[in-house]
Amino acid sequence: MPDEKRLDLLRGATAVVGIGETSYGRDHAAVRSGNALTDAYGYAATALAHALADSGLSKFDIDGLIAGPTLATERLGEVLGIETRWADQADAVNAVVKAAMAIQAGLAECIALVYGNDQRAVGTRYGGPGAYGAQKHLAYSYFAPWGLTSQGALYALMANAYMAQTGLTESELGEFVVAQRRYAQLNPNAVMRRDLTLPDYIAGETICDPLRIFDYCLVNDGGVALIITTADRATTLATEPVLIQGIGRSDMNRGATTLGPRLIDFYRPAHRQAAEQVYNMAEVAQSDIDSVQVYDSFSIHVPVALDGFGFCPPGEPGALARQGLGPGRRLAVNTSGGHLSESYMQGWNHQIEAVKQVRGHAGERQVPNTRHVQYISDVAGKTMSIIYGRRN
Amino acid sequence: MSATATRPSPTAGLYETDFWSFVDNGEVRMQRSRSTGKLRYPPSPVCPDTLDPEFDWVPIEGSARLLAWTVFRRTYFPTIPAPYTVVVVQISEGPIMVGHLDGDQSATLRHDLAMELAFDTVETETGPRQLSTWLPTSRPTQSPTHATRNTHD
Repeated sequence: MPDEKRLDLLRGATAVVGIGETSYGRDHAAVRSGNALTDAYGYAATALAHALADSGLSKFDIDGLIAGPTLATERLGEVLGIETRWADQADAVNAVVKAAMAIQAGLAECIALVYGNDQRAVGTRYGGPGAYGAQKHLAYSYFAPWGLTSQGALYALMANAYMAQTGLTESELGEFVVAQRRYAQLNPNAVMRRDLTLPDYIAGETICDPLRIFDYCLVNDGGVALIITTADRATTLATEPVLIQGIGRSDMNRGATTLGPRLIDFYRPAHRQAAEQVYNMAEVAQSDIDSVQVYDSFSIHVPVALDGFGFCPPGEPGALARQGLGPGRRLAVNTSGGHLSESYMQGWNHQIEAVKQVRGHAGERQVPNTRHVQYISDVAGKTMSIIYGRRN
Repeated sequence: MSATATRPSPTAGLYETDFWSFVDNGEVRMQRSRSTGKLRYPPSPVCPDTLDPEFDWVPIEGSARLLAWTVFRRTYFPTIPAPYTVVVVQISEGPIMVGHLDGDQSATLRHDLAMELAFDTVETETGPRQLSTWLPTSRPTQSPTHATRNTHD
């Protein structure tokens, strides 16, 4: 079991002091018209340069490096010219947790988390032969003989079962999607900023019943970087530190390949455990959370996670849609537009948005008086949550 | 259509080989743990409850309930043209399996529907083979060429 006393020592011990990202909208337009601006490492380098400038640190202050899953750690270090005392590779949320762990353990002091992806330019496939991710999740490739491929289809199956059980309607699911588009319209860096109404959503092409084109995340190119250091060091820097206050994790592995966690449990046991852990560690109540950033490779992730984490009565995600979603509404979710409308940086852009919201730097989409922002992901039932917050 | 659409080959693996040999003989057999008596799927080396490597291949009874389905409206494998329906069922013994139905079959499906095991003859990259699927119980077969009904004694 996670050890609460040891987690107490980790609470608020580390902080995000720098963030950087590429120009998603501008770059998407260029790549769509056939110009490969740079490669994954180039986007990553651009993002790191922005993060260093943001933090006021120099590259030579960095003694640890965590590469996103699309980059080789050694090659990244070589391209960036960084020799490290600590290095690892991880997806977005695990990168943040690993950085906190390494710093708390004393293995490094100042870690750069760096991600870059040229998926659109290189034509990364997420379904069909050679689908991305199959090495990590057997379900992504095992059912090819039956024509079952693509993570979208796996989430379509989950939506099919979840919507039947909870009564969530297609229109209610669409409300989550159009709400995120409204946030993206307030985000100068987002890829998708055209009006998207509920009728537009319903009229969108169905890809795998019941999921439509607007339920699927973007495929675009870009880079993201964060710099994390000790909370003490953070107080010497110019930017307001954003503390890592809580971490929660619970993994569903049994039956993963044959989709039981998705279709029978809807990841709820993992949601419950991760929720209890993250709120306890952060010493924050759910009512203290000012916005929630949910990993949204597909729209259905959002009501499923909010339901599992208790943001609505159990099995009543439609209540959230009926209360109203989007800028100015009670529950602020994916305030940058998320993967659906801002950028598909595999959870990395959600961390950036969380930091901006805690800092009060989210411009027109800023949730007023933000003190705590929660991140949730539950990809394939591996549920993780982080709570970011201001120093008291 | 399924008799001519070429399917990707099954995942290879030490325990997959025996599984697919049984399928080629018109049977779905799963590993039954000698320590718990439970069936497991997909094939794997040990019992997930006890880590016991001892097992027996036993035929499944062939009945299931429908957990979920989706209709593919975009083609992902050039040799499996959309639209087609993928069903996911929980067999009576517990494990979950997948089936493929040609076309949009959603009007015939509902959650918890009783389903039964059937076999298609499909072309794969390595030649024709049997492939299990699941059909609503007591529904007429779609066409004479579509499904070979698995008969249990």
